[in-house]
Parts: sequence; C-alpha cells; structure tokens
Amino acid sequence: MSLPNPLSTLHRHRDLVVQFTHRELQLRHRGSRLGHVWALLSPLTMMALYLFVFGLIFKSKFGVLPNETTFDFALALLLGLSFYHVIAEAIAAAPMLITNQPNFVKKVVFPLEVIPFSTVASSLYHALLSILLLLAIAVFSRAGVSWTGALALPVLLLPLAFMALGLAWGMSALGVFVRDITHLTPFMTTVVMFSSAVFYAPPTRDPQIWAFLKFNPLLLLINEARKAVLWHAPIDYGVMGYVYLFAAATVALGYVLFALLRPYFAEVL
Amino acid sequence: MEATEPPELVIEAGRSSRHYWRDLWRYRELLFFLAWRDVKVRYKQAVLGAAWALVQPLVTMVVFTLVFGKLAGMPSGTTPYPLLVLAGLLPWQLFSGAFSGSSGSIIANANLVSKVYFPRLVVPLAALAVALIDFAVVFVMYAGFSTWFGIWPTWRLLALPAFMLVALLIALGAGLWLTALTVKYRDFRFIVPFLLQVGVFITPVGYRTDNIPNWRDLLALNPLTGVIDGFRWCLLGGDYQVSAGLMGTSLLVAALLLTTGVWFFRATERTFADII
Repeated sequence: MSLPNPLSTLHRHRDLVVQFTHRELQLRHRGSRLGHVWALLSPLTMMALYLFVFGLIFKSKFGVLPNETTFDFALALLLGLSFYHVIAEAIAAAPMLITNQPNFVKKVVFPLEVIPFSTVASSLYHALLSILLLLAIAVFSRAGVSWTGALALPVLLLPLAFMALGLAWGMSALGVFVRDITHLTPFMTTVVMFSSAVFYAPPTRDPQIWAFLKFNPLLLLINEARKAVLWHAPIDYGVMGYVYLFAAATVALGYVLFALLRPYFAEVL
Repeated sequence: MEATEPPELVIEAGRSSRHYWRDLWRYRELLFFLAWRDVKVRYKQAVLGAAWALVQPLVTMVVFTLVFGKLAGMPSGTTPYPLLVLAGLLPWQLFSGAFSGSSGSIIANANLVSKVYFPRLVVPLAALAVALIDFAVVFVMYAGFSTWFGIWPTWRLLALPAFMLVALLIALGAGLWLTALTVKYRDFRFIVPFLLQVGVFITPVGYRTDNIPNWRDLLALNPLTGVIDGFRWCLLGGDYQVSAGLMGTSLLVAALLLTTGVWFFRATERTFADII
C-alpha cells in the first residue's frame, strides 16, 4: 500500500489549511471578553508565576550569563515555556481532534491530515507571538538580544514544528481507537515539562539523571534556543543535527501511523 | 417516601430564595444522582478505570522526587522522599479534583440548568464526589507505599477526615466563585488549568515548608499549605509539626472563601438559566 505524500496533499488543500487554522484561532477565544489579548496575557502570567516559584522561592539559576539577574532568568523561562507549550498543546489536543469530527470522517471525502496540521499551526502562531514579545522585552536586559541568534529562530522552530506535527498526527490517529489516551495526556505533558528543563539548568552535573535527559530533544532544542537568542553563544550544530534527525523521525512516524490507521477511522467512530 | 396526595404548590415571589436551604435538603436525591452519574462516567467509560486515577499521582511522585529531592537537593527529614511527596499529593489531588470539577460544573450541566428549577448549589456539590472516589483510590496506593517504607499509622490518622474536609471546603469555595464567574465570563475557563498547573508548585507538594523560612509566611497565605502540613502530620508521624498559625490561616481563608463563594453563587444563580 502506498502512502499519499503529505506535502502535496497539504499544498493541494492549502485553502482548507488556512481556513482551519483561522477557525482554530477564533475558537480558542470564542466568548471571552479579552479575546486575543489572552494570546499575550497567558504566557506572561504563566511566566510570572513560574518566576515566583522557581526564581524567587527556589532561587533557581541557569548559570550561563555572568551575574545572572532574575530578569535574565525570567526571559530564559519565557523562551523555554513558549517552546514547551507548542509540544504540550499538540499532546493535549491531539487525541480528540479526529474523534470530535466524525462527520468529516464518515460523511464527506476530506483530507483529514489538515485537522492536526492546523492545530499545530495555531499553537505555533501563539508561540511566535510570545517569542516576539520576549524579543521586545529582552532588548532591555543587560545582556540584550543576540540578533544573529534571533535570525536563527526559524532554524530552531522548524524541528519544534516537526515534533509537534508528528505527535499530533500520531496521537490523533491513536485517539480514535484508544479513547483512554485522553487520561494519559495530562501526565505526559507533566513529564515533558520536567524532563525538558524548562525552569532549571540542564542537570549536566548529575550523571544518573543526565544519562537519560541528554537524549531529550526538546531539552536540547530549548537550550540551544536560549544560547542563541539570549546568551550570545554559538549554536552547537552537532546537537541541532540530532534534534533534526529526531524531529524528522517523529513527523515521519506520526504521519505513517496516521495514514495507515485512517482507512479504519470510519469503522469505530 | 412519597405521600399519595401531591403536595400543595404555592407560587409566590421570593419563596424559592427563602426556602433555599430546605430545598437543598429536599433535592438531596438529585445530588446523589448527579454524583453517581459523574462517578459512573469516570469509572465505567475508560477501560482501565481506577488505573488512570493512579497514573497521575504515581508519575508526579517520581518526577517530584527526582526534581525536588535529587536535583534541587531538598531535605526530607526522616521520611523517604517519595512518601513525603505522595503524602502531599493526596490532599493536592483531592483539592484539584474537587476544584476543577466544581468550577466547571454549571457549564457542563448547562442543559439541566436552563431547563428546570432546582437549587443550583446541588451541581457543584455533586462534582465533589468524583474527587472523593479518586482520593480513596490514591489513598489505597498510599497505604501500600507507606507499608513498604515501614511507616505505620498512629492515632494521628484519626484527624485525617478533618483535614480532608478543610481541603474540600477550600475547593468548594473557590469552585463556587469560578463556576459562577464562568457562566458570565467564559474567560475564567482558562484560569482553572492555570491555577492548578502553577498551584502544585506554590503549594508545598514537592517540598517541606520548614526548608524555606524566608517565604514561609507568604506560602502560609495559601490555605492548602496548612492542609498539606496537616496531612503529613497525620500520615508520616515522626518530626512533623502542625503549626497553629498555619492551620489558623488555612481555616480562616477556607471560611472566607466558602462564605463569599456561597454568597456570590447565591447572588448570581438566578441569572444562570438566562445567560448560560
């Protein structure tokens, strides 16, 4: 059985992709007074609360910049959270994406891969917004923004998008058959959050833990992004190579799973 | 229990609000039914039922033990770190389950609320049941771990229901506020996952309160801090102390939350059916 090429499918239905992404963004803020202001407000509130707990109570530091201030810590925190949220939202939303749309599966011929794709696109849009906000604030920090690093952001965001897309495709297909996945997602996001060193420095000094965590692509990616944008350090291309390999494998696996299971969606929905 | 003759129904202004608490008692059967329905949905639809109630605390225990105990190097006193975390997770899960259940309850039962009269307080109250059942499941797991680590219950265990009640009342108070607010302003939907995600760190679930003296007073403002200390005092024994100040703040904030919550809920519930 030959699988359809996802790129050509998505390109052919690009108008659908745009419409669905737009709808996704609209839906998220439907009925709320502040509307799209939430897109900026929520990452900032999140950051403030994590800053209070980890920056002030635990006095956590990333320890890369000399004389790291709480402000520097907050910036690195926001960058890590923006990356993390793309993955977390893909994991949290995916299992119900196809399950909630039985009409698209059973009533019409519809390119279903568009649905997970536009969910990821909308959360990437939110991540971009909060990263732009971060860049605007970071200008006022003592270390400032590394603009060459900021130019490298597309290179850093691409593997993030691939990983999120692979997870969204794979898990949305599995979610049709195994409804219980929705019970697993909250703790999956917790594990991802803690294992990606979103609010502490990568634990390189603890060999037992680092032996596992050094393979976490999200941890490595977040670390490279912080280095490039905030810490004025060069990107480690060896690490990025590994991250890209992992991201490519995730998206390929996710898509293959989706394409293989799709013929059976209609039977169980 | 029903008499053969239907009771006389007098309709007059303000009657339902004067008889509110009596009505609440009369509608207890509805309360049990709603609670029963929620529990059934939670434990019958999923193949593994109770297992899902266990996965979350189990994983959180492992993660917190690694992050707070190992990476951050927080001391745990005489108790093994995993048990310390689990004893904190018990009240946290009870609270978060009850809080998220009750704060989403009116919206989740929109059809019921907009179609018939009943004291609306029944809905958030019924939502507490699932949290209690989940708590029972996790408690069994805790008992297993506790035995394994060789920590046996003492007479202090008898005080546990009191601390459970405080946790539930705090959850109900906060839940009443949020469920009433969500009916009018849907933005508040976003607040609950927020609060819970961050609350697990602001509440000393993963660490002991006596390690951070400079922030202890601020943390004490969180009513759950007292409850968690109380749980650890009941369950872990040993050197655990319950400070009267901490417990007092807990009770005070709980009472405040609950009375204002009930007041706000009562003040707005008449409009629920119209704007939901």
